[in-house]
Amino acid sequence: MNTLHGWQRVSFVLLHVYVLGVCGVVLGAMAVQFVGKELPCPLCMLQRMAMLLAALGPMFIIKQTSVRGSDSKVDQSIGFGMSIIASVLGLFISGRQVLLHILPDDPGYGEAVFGLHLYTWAFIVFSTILLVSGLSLMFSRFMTVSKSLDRMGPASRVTVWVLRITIAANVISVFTESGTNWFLPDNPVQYELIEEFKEFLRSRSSADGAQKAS
Amino acid sequence: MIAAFIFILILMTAFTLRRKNPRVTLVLFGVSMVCVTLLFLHHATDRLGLSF
Repeated sequence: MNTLHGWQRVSFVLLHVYVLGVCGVVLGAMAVQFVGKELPCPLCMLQRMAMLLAALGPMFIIKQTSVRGSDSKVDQSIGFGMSIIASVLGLFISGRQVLLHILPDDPGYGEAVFGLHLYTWAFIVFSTILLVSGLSLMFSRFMTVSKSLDRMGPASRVTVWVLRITIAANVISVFTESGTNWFLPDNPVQYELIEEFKEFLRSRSSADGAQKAS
Repeated sequence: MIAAFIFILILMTAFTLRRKNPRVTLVLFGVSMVCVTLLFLHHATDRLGLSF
């Protein structure tokens, strides 16, 4: 089996840190949602989407290293290009939310985490992703993983599954929050799917009661 | 439901990353980006009464 040495190994490890770091931020936001009982607003959800799309770039590079005959320079360009496009969109979304709450005496949306609100942290994360992607492309002469691995190692597999599970958890979370509505409410106060299910049970039990009475 | 649909699109993109030809990945990534942008524009213009 081929192994990586020197800068290529450092670059390959950094790609994993990149993906796991973004997943960690999204999972941290989910922890605030479920432990802190703060329902995410539509803009928060859009920022999560942009972060996960940005994480797909380095994940693409990691996966392509185990594909025979792939051009590593092209893969590097595609992967970091994906990250840059997604993080520019994320900067717009988080920047808008920062500007919505920028006036003095505005309490902001939700509780602050380590002194900053989650959308401000998201702005910092997207800026960091842009910086890291740009630097990786600038130093692609050293950082390109040019060797093709025979198969993905255990660390890469774990990273792949962490990303997939993070995305799948968000599918369930957002569906529970929006219920059967097309859009999320601007200021969500409850999980709509759970409320709809309770309403369904109530209507069913009252219909059963009326049937028994007649 | 639209947000859940976009997350499913992102999940589908994540499952296509290992193909030798990255065309499917790029198409799904592009569709996801367009959907996120349109949803952002909807939420950004909602309060303005533009009903985007």
